[in-house]
Parts: sequence; structure tokens; C-alpha cells
Amino acid sequence: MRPAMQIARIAARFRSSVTIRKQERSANGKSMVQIMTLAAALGTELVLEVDGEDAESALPVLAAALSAPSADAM
Amino acid sequence: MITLRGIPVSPGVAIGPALVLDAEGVRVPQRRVKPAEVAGEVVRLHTALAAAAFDATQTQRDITSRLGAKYGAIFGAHAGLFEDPSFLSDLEGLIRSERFVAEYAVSRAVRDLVRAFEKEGENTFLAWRSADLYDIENRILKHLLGDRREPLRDVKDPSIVLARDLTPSETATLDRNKVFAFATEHGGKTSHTAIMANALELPAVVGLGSFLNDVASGETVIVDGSEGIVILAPDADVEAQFRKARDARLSRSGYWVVERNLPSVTTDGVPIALFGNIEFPDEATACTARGAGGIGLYRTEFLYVGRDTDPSEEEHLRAYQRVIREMGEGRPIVIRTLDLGADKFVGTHGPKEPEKNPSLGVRSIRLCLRDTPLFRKQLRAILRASAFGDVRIMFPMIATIPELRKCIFLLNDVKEDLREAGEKFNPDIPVGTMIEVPSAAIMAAELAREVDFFSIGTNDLIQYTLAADRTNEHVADLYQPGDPAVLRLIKAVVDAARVHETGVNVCGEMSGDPLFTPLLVGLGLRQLSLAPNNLPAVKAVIRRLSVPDAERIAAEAMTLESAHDVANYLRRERKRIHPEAAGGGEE
Repeated sequence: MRPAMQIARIAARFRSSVTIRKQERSANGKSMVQIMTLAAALGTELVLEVDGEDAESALPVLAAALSAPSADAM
Repeated sequence: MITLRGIPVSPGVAIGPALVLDAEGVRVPQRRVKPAEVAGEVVRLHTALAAAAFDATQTQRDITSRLGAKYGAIFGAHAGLFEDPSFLSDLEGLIRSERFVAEYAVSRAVRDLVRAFEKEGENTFLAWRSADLYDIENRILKHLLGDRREPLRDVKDPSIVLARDLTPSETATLDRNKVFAFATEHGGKTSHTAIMANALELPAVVGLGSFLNDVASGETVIVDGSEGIVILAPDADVEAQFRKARDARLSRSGYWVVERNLPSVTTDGVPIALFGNIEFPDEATACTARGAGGIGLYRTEFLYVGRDTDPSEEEHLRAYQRVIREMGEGRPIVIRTLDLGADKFVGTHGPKEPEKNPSLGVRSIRLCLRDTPLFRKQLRAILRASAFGDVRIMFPMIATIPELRKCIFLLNDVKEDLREAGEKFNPDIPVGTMIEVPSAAIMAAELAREVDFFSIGTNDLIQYTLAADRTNEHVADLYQPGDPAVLRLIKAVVDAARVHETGVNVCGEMSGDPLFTPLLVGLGLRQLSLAPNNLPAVKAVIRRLSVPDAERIAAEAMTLESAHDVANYLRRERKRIHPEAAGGGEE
């Protein structure tokens, strides 16, 4: 699966809002399109923000998905 | 000025401004809806999105099983876009706040995305390309527009359509009052698109190779569908010369209208029956308007294509009755049973797995003999139609005698059913077979004993004899009606038919080309069936030809060794027989 889509799919499973930030820009973590337009290549530093009732369980899962290396570009 | 050569598929000269359709087609026009219609437009959008997502998932499954999960995932990602919250809110926003129609909102949202992706630069845009996004756009638009492929239907000013390729349905929707002609980069001489161009009487040239980058919409273009020439940005003197040729042609077709009611007989009084080839019931009018003696080939594929269910017996019957009514008393109508080729395939009757070589696979009569309920439904309808007029039945793509016997057996069985049901039909309905597979041409003497008439389908006969795919522009030069091998097969079939007193007709495109008329008459043909717009030109040749003259031409042509020599020889003869049509400074 394509990474951006994979992350969006995982994020969509949680009720919390998910925001991914790259420097001053941010993307809705549930939108494949927005994650793609962040244009985060492998090795880019990202900030993950999860806000909501299931944030605690969501955070580690999403962090793992984001940091898993992938050969494919987002 | 750039002169291009392609494959001429529909005769005539047209000069006018270009309308270039690139890969994306013409942009969807910006339109707005009334405030009260916004909610309905949002519903339309979501319905189309759901259908498009379903399509993409189907494609994903299909590609995964054929090529592997890696390729399937591409379409999985496409499907993902249809439920992307950001994309959806952009789309809804365009409809709710701007009141755009759903089509334009989709087009606009996709283009915004393309721009956003492209801004991020080449290296981050590895996986997604604009083609992916346009594919997604097309998927959604397909559901929003249904069959109304807007680009061509909504042509505003009279123009010449230039495109990479046109589908038969796109060609069919061209408005003759708005489109003078078309020219495409791809396509071959006897593609369905070419046949449609002929039916619509639009000059057309296909298989030109890449040229769309050399022309812009609005520039003047000349299309010569008789010679296969397209000229971009013509010089003034060239344009003037083509205008003259076009006007001369127009006045000649006026002259042919005068000849319309004159009989189709040679100068020594031998009648040559001229019949029309049609696909759609409406085309019967074009045949009667040009004095056709009947319909020599009524293709019935249109009843089957572009739909999910099979046509009912009543739908068949209604279509046949319309043609019978238009043609009136005493004009035969030859209905050809389903001849779905690999290139025309739509629906549920295709092979379960893709065939390696569809034109040599389960198509046409082979398909019908494997799906007898489908076949019997059409046979019943044709038989029932025979109660209303001089209907005849013809089987396509027969390759062997047992195949033909199976068809006749089934036909007799269906007659029995109808008799028991008390339905009216003509019990002696004439039965014919197409001769379009070389094996059938070789076995013509034996086949002649089984049927009332033959119809030589030169399009397939040429393709199978020369083993050249008729829609592949790289080998299209091998596909020549004048090839000596083809002429020998035609002669053998005509001779066999004469011995057994079986009727014989030619219904391929060769019979609509006046160049070949003397040759065919000389080989012994007394009936030709052709696209209605070619009827006047062919009749004009017949009325200037004597049978001994034609026989001499055929005998001489049979001594030549290449299609090129045959064509050159026939051109010289045509100039002699009918100088004003063959020449007029055009050749």
C-alpha cells in the first residue's frame, strides 16, 4: 500500500483528529491528499499531533506507521 | 505548412478551423446551478463518487489477479481518493459556495490537486502523476455524464476534430452540422470508428502518427479523406486548390442526385443490384434516398453493445421492423446475426479469460454457437420479422461446413418452436453465409450447396488472408483489397456460386470503393452492398461500364503480381471510364 494512503487509512480508524506537521505546514492525517502534498521524503522530520478521546492508543500506532521506512515516496 | 499522410477511411475534402482534443479531452465547461439545486448537485456528486470508487476497486481486483498486488495497489490508491476527507470537502465546497455543477467541480478540484502536486517538484511526485489524477477525473465524469461525452457533443463552432483517437461512440455523437471532418493519430482502415465516419458521411483520415503537438485549435486544417492527406496551416495557393477540389466534389454529388433514380445498369444493359450496408435503423433512410435496391448487410451489433443486459426478442423485432417499414415493399433486407468481434466486445458474453488472440478466438458465430439461448433469441426475432417483409438471414464468420450446418439446424429448430407457438414467419426465408474466412472461400463449392446466397465480407477476408491486423497502423499497408491473393479468393467464390446457382454479393468496404467496381463486375458480381454514401459514385461507374470492358479489366488485373500494381492499373482504367470523377485535377 502507498505510505500516504496507509497512514490516512490508519488515522481514519481513530476518532481523534490527527495532524501531521512539517515545519510550518500541516496536513490532516486522515487525508491521503494532504499528506502527499506535504511532500515528506524519507528522513524528513515530522511532528505528529493527535487530539481526542482515543489519542493515547492512536499515537503509538501512527508514530510507528510514520517512522516505518518505505521505499516508496509519499 | 505541414503535410501528413494517413489512412483514408471516409471520402471527401474538408477545410476549416481545427478543434484539437488532447488526451484530457476538451475541458468541462464552467456552469452554475440555481441555489435550490445545490443539494441535488451534491447528491449527484456523491452518487458518482460511490460508483467511481466501486469501479476503481473492481479494477484493483482485476489488475491484482492479472499482474499482481503491486500494480493493483495503484488503483487501490485511486479508490482511496474517492473517500479522502480533504478532497471531498474541496469538492463539496465548490458546489455549495460557488454553485458549480458537479462536473466542473470535479474537473476543477482535480486540476487544483495536479497543480499542488506539481508544485512540490519532480522528485516528490514519484508515485502519483497527473495521469493518475486525470484517470480519476475521467472515472467520476463518466458517471456524471453517462453517455453524454460532452467534448464532442458540445462542439460550438463548425470545426475539424483532431484527436489521438476517437471511440466509435464518440464518432457517432459527432454533429454533422458542427464537425466537417476528423483526423486521428491512431486507428486503422476498417475500425468501427472508420465505419461510423462513413455512415455519417464525414471525411476522415486515421493512423496519421503523432501530430497533435504541431497544431493548435483554431488553425486552418485541410482533411482529404479520399487520399488520406491532412495539411496543417496550408499555404494560400494550396488552400485555394483544395477549395476548388472540394467545390467540384460538392457539385458532382449534386449531379449524382440527378442520377439517383436512374437504374444501375451497365452500358450493355446488364443490371447490377446495389444494396446498402447499415448498422442503425436510421441509416435505412440514407439508403432509400440514394436509390438502394435493398439492404445487403444489416449489422445487428448495435443492439448488444454499450449495455449490461442482452436485448430482448421484442427489441430485436422492433429494430428490424423499423428498417422494413423504411425500405418498403419489394426491397430485400439481409440481417446478419450477431458478429461481435474482439474489438467491439462489451457485455457479459466475452471469454472468461482474456484471449491471447481475440480475432482468432471465440467471436461472432463461434460465440453464438456456444451461447445458444442468446443466438436463438435473435433467430426468433429475425424469423418473426420475416412475416413483415422480404427478410433474409445471414451467418457471419463461418469457417467450416459443420458450423454452417449447426446454424441451419438451430434455425430450423427455432422455426419449429414458432410454428408450435402459432407465430407468423416466412418458412422459406432465404439463408446465406458470409465468406470472410479463407477456409470458407476455399470450400465455397461445398458451402454453396447448403445456402441460398453468399456475401463476401472483404474486410475480414483481407485481414485473415494477409494475416494483417486491420486496425494496426504498422501493418495496415499489407491490408489491401487489391492484393492478388484476395482477388483469387473472390474469383473462386464467384465461380463456385455460379456453378451452384447460389447468389453472391460483396459487402465489404471494397464494394463501396468505385476504383474496384469494374474489377468486381468483371469477376462476375451482379450485386454489391455498400455504405449508402458510396452508392452514387459506384452507380456512376456502373452506368459508364460495359460487361466485356469490365471482364477485360478483371482479366488484366488478375495477371498482376502486387496490390500496388493492381491499384495503379485500376486507377488508370477508372480515369478512362469516368474521367470527371476520377480526375478533375485531384489526382
